[in-house]
Amino acid sequence: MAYDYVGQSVRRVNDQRLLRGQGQYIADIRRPGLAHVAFVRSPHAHARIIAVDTAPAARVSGVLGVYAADGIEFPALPLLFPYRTLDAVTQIPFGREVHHVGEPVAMVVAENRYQAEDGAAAVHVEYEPLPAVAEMKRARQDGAPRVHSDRSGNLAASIMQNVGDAAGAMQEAPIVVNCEIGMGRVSCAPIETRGLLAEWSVRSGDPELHVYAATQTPHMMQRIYAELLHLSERQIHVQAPDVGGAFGAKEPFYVEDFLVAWVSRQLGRPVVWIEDRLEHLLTSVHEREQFHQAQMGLTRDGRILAVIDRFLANTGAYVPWGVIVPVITSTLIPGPYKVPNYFCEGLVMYTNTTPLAPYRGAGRPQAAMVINRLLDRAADRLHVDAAAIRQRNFIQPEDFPYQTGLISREGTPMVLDSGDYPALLKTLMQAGGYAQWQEKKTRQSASDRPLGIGLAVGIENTGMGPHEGATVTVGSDGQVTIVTGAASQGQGHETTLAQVAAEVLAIDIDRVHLVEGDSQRIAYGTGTFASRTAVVAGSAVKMASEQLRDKMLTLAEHLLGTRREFLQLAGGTVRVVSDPTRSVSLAQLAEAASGPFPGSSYTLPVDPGLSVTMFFTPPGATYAAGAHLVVVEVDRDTGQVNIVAYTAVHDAGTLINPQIVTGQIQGGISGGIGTALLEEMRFDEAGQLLTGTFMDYLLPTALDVPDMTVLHRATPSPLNPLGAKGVGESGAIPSPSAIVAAVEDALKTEHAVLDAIPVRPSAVRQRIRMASEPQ
Amino acid sequence: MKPCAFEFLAPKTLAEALSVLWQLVEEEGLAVKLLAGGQSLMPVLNMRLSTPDVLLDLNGLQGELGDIVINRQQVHIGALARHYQLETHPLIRRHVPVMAEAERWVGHVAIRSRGTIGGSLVHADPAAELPLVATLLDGSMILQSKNGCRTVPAAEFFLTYLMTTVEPAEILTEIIFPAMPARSGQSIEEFALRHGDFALAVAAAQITLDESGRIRHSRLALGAMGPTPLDMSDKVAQLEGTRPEAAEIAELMADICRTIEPDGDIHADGPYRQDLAAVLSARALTAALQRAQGWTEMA
Ligand SMILES: Cc1cc2nc3c(=O)[nH]c(=O)nc-3n(C[C@H](O)[C@H](O)[C@H](O)COP(=O)(O)OP(=O)(O)OC[C@H]3O[C@@H](n4cnc5c(N)ncnc54)[C@H](O)[C@@H]3O)c2cc1C
Repeated sequence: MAYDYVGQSVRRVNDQRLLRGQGQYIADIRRPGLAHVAFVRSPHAHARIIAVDTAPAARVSGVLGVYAADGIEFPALPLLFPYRTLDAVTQIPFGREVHHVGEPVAMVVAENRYQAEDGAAAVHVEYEPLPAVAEMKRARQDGAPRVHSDRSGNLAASIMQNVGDAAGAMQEAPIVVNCEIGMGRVSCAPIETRGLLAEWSVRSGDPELHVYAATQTPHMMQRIYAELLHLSERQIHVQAPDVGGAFGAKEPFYVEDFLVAWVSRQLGRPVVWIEDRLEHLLTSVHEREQFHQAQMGLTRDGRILAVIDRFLANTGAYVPWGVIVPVITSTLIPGPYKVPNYFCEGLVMYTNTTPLAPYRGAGRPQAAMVINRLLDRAADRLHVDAAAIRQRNFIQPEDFPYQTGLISREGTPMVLDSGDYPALLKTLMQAGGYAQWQEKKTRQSASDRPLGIGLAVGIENTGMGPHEGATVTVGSDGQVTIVTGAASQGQGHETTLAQVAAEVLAIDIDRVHLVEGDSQRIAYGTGTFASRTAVVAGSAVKMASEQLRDKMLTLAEHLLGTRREFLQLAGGTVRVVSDPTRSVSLAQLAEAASGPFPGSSYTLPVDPGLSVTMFFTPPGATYAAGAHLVVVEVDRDTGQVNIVAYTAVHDAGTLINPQIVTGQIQGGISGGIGTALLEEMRFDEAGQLLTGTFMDYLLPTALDVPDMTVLHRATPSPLNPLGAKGVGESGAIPSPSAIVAAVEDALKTEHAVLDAIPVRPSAVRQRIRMASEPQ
Repeated sequence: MKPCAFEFLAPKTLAEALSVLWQLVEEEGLAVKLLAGGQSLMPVLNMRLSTPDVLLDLNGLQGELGDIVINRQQVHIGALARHYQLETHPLIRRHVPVMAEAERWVGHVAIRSRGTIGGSLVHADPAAELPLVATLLDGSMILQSKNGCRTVPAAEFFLTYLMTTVEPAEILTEIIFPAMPARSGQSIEEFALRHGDFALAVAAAQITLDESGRIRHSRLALGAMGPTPLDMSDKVAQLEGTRPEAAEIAELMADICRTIEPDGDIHADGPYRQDLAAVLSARALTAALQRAQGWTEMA
C-alpha cells in the first residue's frame, strides 16, 4: 500500500534546507533596530556584590544601556519541579550574592556585540569573596563552606527507595560484591548555543512580548514570562525557530531568558543575545556528576537477592530542573533485572558550581552503570559469563506489566509496560559476534594490544506526560498542516509526525506540513525532552488525524450521497469505489466545510472547518530498552583505548522511521563514548572552571566515533495508540557502562578496577604500571 | 568572544610590509600583530588575550613567501607555505619526509588548508609539530626587518611557551632545512587524546647509518615536555656505532626519559607524559632505523 508511511525510512524533509544553509536560527533573525547584549559574569564562585560601577561602560561607543546587580530587585525564578524533600534555591536575576563562576552580574546593551563586549569589559564590579565549595564530597562534610549563606547546610534533597528488606537479604546472601564508581560531569554542548531575541509591541493598548528562543519548551517559557512579568499569556508569544541541538541545555528557564526580555522593554528596542561557547560551557546546565557505593547480594547460582546503593549527586548552585536526575537514577538502578530487595539512598548536594539538570539520558546512564558493573563483578566472582548472569536475572516477557515496587519520578507506582529483554540480549550476542570476539580476545591476550569486551543492558522510562496536543487541518488547497506543542531541535519531527498523519489520511507525505515550537499556534504544549515527542505528540497526531478522517468521510457521504462503506480515501481524494468518476478532493471537502458564501446558513452534517485538535495524555511511562556490546583494544604502552566494534540492539516499540531512530541511537552512543572516555567539566577547589574551551573539554568528533551496528527489536507499547517508545536518549544509557566494562576486561591480567569515568589513557596506563611494579 | 577594535592593513609586497611594520612599531609605538593563517591568532584575538592596535595581514605576500624550493641540499620554505603544502609537496616528502609525516598530526584538514609554517613556528606552542621538526633538524629561520636580515638557528629561536626571538618589527620570511642525508630514515610518533588535538607527547627522530649498517648519527627531539621542544640528540649519541634491537632502544629511552621532568596539566600528569616520551621516542627511533635500513638512492 502506497500510504504505509509508518515504519518507512522516509528521507528527512528538512535536510535539504538545513544543509544548504537556509535554516533560520536565532542568530539569523534580523529586526530593524536590533540591539545586542553582552553579560558581565562573576569571576568568583561565591561572593557578595559590594558595588557596581557602570559609568565607564555607559561612555563606551555604541553602548545603549548598562544594567547591574545593584538597585534592581527581581524575584527568584520559579521552581519547575518540586520534590518532597527538596529545599529549593532557584536563581535570582541580578541577585546580590553570586553562587558560581559565570553568574551574570551586569548586562550591557549596544548597537552590536563587539561594542557590547567593549562595554562589558569596562564595567567595574567590587566583590567580597566568600568561601566556596566545588566538590560534592567536601560540601557534605561538617564545617564545609556554605554554598548559600542563608542556608544552614548544603543538602538540597535526600532521595530514598526501599523495596523489600535489602539489608536483611544482603546479610543472608552467600555472595556479595561491591562496586564504587564516580561519574564525571559533562556539558550538553549542542552545536548551536543558547540564544534569545525579544521584542515588545503594543496591541489594543496592551504591551506584548514576542520572543524567539532556542528552546525545547516554548509554552513553559510563555507561562514563566507571564508569571515574572505579571502579564497574561495572551500577551506573550514564544517561538522556537530552527534550533541546532539541545540535549537538555535548552530545557530550563535561565536568568538570561528573563533579563533579555526585561531589558528590551526598558530600552524600547528589539534585543538579541547569542550565548558564546565560553558562556555555554560556563553557564548552561551540566549533568551526570554522581558518586555511587553499591553492593549486590546473590545466590551461588547468580540470582540477585538484593541491591543496596548509596550515592551523592551534585546539583551545582541551584536546582533548575528540580532533582529529577538523581530521582530517575534511584528508580532505574534495578533496570531490566529482577531485584527483589532494593534500597537506595541519594543525597543531592549544592556546590558553588554551574547547576546540573537533565542531559540526554538524565540520570539513567548512572543507574545503568551501577547495576551493570555490579553484575560484571558478580560474573567475575562466580566465574560465569557476563551475558549468562544477565539472562539469569532478566524480567521475563510474561512478567509485563511488571510491578517494580518503586515509586516513579511522577510519584506513582512504577510499572514496566512491555519488553523482551532475553531476546534483546540474544539478538545482540549473535549480531555482535560475541563468541567470535571472545575467541579473538583469548588469542590476543598476551599482546601489547589486548582486546576487551563489554556488555550492558539498560532501560529508559519514556513518553511521559502530562500531555501533548496536535491540531490537524486540511487547507483549501488540500494540503495538511499539523500543529503541535512540541519543538524540534533536529530530531526530524517534520518527517516523523508527517508520516503518522499521511498514513492515516492516505495522502502523499509531501502534502503534510508541520508547525511547532510556537506558543500562539496551539494553546498548550509540554515540549521536547525526556524522549517523549514520538510517543506523546505522535499519538496526538494519530488521534487527531483519525478524527479528521472520520469527519472527512462523513462530509463525503453527504456530498456524494453514498455511504462510507462504499467510499475510499486515497491520494487526497474520496472516491466511490464502484464509480471512481464520482469523487471529491480534500480541497473540495475543506472548501465545503468552510461554509458557503457569507450570510448563508451552514447545513452540513459536520462542524465547520476540516480541523481537529486532540490531546494525548499517556497513562504512564513506556519503557524502551537497549543492549550494547563493545569491543576495545587497549595499547598497554600508552593507555590508549580504541573502540574496534560496537553493536547495539534497541527496543523502541513501533518504529515510525527506522533510519531516524537509528540516527538517534548512534547520536546517543556517541555521547556515551564521550561520557565514558573523554568528556569532563572540571572545576578546581575554588570553583574555577578548568575546561572552558573545546581544547580542554573533549567531545568525541567524527574521527573518534566508530562505525556501529544498530539493530531494532521492537515490542510495541500497549500504552499508546502508536505502540511507540521514546528513543532520543536511549543510546546514551547503556553505552558508558559497556565501554568501561570493555576497558576493564582488556586489563584482566592487570586485575584493574576502574572506579571513575571518563577513563583517561593516563588512568589506564597507571593501572598497568601499578600491576607491573613488584609489590 | 569578539575581538576589540583594531586597524586592518593588507600590504601587497614584502618591502611594503616591512616598511609599514617599521613605521607602526618603531616610529608610532603601536602594538602590531601579523596575520598569517589565523588559526592560532584569531582565537587569541576573539578571547581578547591580545588587543593589538593594528592587524597586518601577510596573506597578500603569498607570491613572495609561499614557495618551496631545494638549493644545494637545503630546502627553502617560504613562511606562508600552508600546512597542506608541506604535507603533500614532493620536495618535502622526499627531502624532509618527517615534516610531511608530522603534518598529518596537525589539527584537521580545514586548519591545515589555512595555517602556515611561519605562523606555527612563531606561535611556538611547545606541543606543536613544526617547532619540533625544526628542532630535530636544526632548521634556520630567516628574520627580516626594514633594517636588515638575520638567521637564527632553531636552538636559539624558541625562548619559552609561545615566545620566540622575533622582534616586533621583524617578519619571519623563510625557513631552511637540510635535506635528509643518504642512508637515513626519519620518523615521528605522537600521542594525543583525540586525533587533531595538540600532543600530550610527541617524538621525532632521524637515524643515519654508515656503509656497514651501524648507526653513524642519531637525532631525537621531544615535544610537549616543557616550555620549548627538547633536543635530545646528545642523549642518544650513545647509539652511534651500534646496531641496536628495538628492545635495547626501548630500554635506553626508558632510562633517558627519567631525566626529563615534564609539567602536568588537566590532560596528563608529569609522570604519564614522561612515560609516553619513553614509549614514543623508542618507537620513533626504531621506525627511523628501519627506514634508514631500507633507504635506497632515488633517481
Ligand atoms: C582546532 C585547531 C587544532 C590545531 N591543532 C594543531 C596541532 O595539532 N598542531 C599544531 O602544530 N598546530 C595546531 N593548530 C594550530 C595551527 O597549526 C596554526 O595554523 C598555527 O599554529 C599558526 O599558523 P597560522 O598561519 O594560522 O598563524 P596565525 O594564527 O596567523 O599567527 C600565529 C602567530 O604567529 C605570528 N606570525 C604569523 N606569521 C608570521 C610571520 N611570517 N612572521 C612573524 N610572525 C608571524 C602571528 O602574529 C601570531 O602571533 C591547531 C589550530 C586549531 C584551530
